[in-house]
Amino acid sequence: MMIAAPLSRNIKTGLKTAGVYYSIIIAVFFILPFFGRLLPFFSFNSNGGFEACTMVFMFIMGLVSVKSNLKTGIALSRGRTTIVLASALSLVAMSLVTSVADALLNPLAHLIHNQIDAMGLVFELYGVESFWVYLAWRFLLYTFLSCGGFFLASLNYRMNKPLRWAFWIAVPSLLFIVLPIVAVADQGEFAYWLGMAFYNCFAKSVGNCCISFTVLSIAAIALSYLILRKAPIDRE
Amino acid sequence: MEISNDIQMPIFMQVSEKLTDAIFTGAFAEETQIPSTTEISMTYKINPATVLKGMNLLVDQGLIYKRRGVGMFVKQGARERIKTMRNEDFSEKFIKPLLDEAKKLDLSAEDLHKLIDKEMSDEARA
Amino acid sequence: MKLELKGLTKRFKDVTALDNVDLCLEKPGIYGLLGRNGAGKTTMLNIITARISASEGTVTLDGEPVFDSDSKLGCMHLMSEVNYLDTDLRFKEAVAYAKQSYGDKFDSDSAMRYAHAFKLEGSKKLGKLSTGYKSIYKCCLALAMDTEFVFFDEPVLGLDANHRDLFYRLLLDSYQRKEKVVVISTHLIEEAASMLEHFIIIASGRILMNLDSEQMSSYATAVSGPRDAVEALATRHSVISRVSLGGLETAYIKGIVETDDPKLSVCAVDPQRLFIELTRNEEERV
Repeated sequence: MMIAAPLSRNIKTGLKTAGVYYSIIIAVFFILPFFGRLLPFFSFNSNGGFEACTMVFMFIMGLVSVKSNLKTGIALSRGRTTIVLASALSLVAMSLVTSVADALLNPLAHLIHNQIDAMGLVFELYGVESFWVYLAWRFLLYTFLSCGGFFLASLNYRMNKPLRWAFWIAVPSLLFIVLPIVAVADQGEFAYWLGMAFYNCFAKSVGNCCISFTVLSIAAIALSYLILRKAPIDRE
Repeated sequence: MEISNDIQMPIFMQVSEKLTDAIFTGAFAEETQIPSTTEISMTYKINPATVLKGMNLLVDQGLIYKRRGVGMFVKQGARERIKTMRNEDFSEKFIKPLLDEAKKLDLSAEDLHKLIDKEMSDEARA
Repeated sequence: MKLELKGLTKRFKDVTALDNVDLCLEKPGIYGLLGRNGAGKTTMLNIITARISASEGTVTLDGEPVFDSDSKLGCMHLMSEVNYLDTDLRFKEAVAYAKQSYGDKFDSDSAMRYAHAFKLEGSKKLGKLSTGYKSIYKCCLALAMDTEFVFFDEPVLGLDANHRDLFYRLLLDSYQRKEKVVVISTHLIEEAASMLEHFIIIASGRILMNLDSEQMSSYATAVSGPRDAVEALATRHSVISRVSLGGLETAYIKGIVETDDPKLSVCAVDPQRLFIELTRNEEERV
């Protein structure tokens, strides 16, 4: 396997995008507020820091990397396994970079806006105050979101038009029609089971949540690999 | 100078013809190096293997020779040799087709002599 | 290195783009892959380089499957009509990426030299270029490849006459810098013919002919003259096609034909004419 080239290329592209993203974050959270003082209507009511922003950013990074990595990878003569693995590893690397960056920027943001918690979401959710736990949790959260984005984009890439329609109709109807019907039919038993499963996986403890993120990330990449293993890469 | 696909002579023969012409006109002087396969190939946009085939024809005719590690050179006396060869070919290449066409037009030997004399004197005057 | 296609078939929803193709490429040289629109040239190249998978059959390099092997794929490069690289990638960045990916099998200096000859600036982004220069961008990368196999799919699309001329000359430069199997798929047969050592003609997903240039030039003879005289000769041979103009007829006859009949003129058929006569549709006889 010759993974070094695609991996370093993906990370380089990722770092470039992250550079743009963090200059916007810094502009919004650290520079604008000084002007904001002059404008009375400009205020923050966020208290999770810019985690939410980075979560969206990493999800999108996962989404957009599928097509670009496949095309560049195949054009420069790499096999599918290497391309998918290099994508996954670069998403992990970027999650590490962004989680460290956030861990450093969040306390700074707290100094300027005291509504923003120095520790961010993890304290609110689990009451844990360890910097390292927070860093690890955030890293796994970003990894999960970017790999999830990668999986959804892979699915979207592979599906033809009718299938794509079917998928995007099936998912919401499952959530908003089938689940409520099931809930009425079994008097909330399934919904309760689902809620408990969700609670046990994500909310019960920070440890469980970290394990869930890891398992789901690996599953997302494994499924993406199966989806992309034979996918045609012949269009712009 | 152009090489063409659709005339009746194979490309490697056209290459050797061109090089022979260049030697005969003195464009490639005797005992000087002729352009390399790469140069010829790139100038005429011909496959290098074809160029090599054309060049080998010249080697066989004793017009050029290889200096190891340097390249191909025009042999001493190559011009004279080309002249001899062309003299030998003259009948086959020019007189025979002339006679073939003359036969179709029912021109006699005398008619032909007259025509040739006329053309030659016209050219001398011009 | 030996590239082998065995029983290669590709079926799309309603068409069979490739139909049981066997082909072997090994000896360095410049090969022409000729075929009409939709004949299956791009499909074949795309399968060889793992862009799409085959419905049946195999592509192997020295006996090993190519599809998911980095080391095997790394011996090949395909310049496609489709743009694969990111639109915001500058040429010099693409050169750096290619170097990183192909290592010793890519010559960065040559890439920059070729780009310079085309007046393609290193700082130009792929997406900002005209159609012609997009081809040039990809051509310059492919020309600098020293992989054992380099495939060009319609390399001169959108290039003006001067740029096409330059491309052909640089192709010969690239080939002589390092000998390799170069395959060019093109419609401009007349322009490329003198560079080709080998002709692979593909029609309706099948290999119609696979000949070297010598076999190609002796493949057929054009005989023209009065219809009776031509037909008298033609009946004794296998005829590829006939074109007539009043009482005058030209027959393209297989093999080398000689005749003493003074009313007939006999000449060799150039590759482009041969290709046209071999692949003409009935509807096109107007």
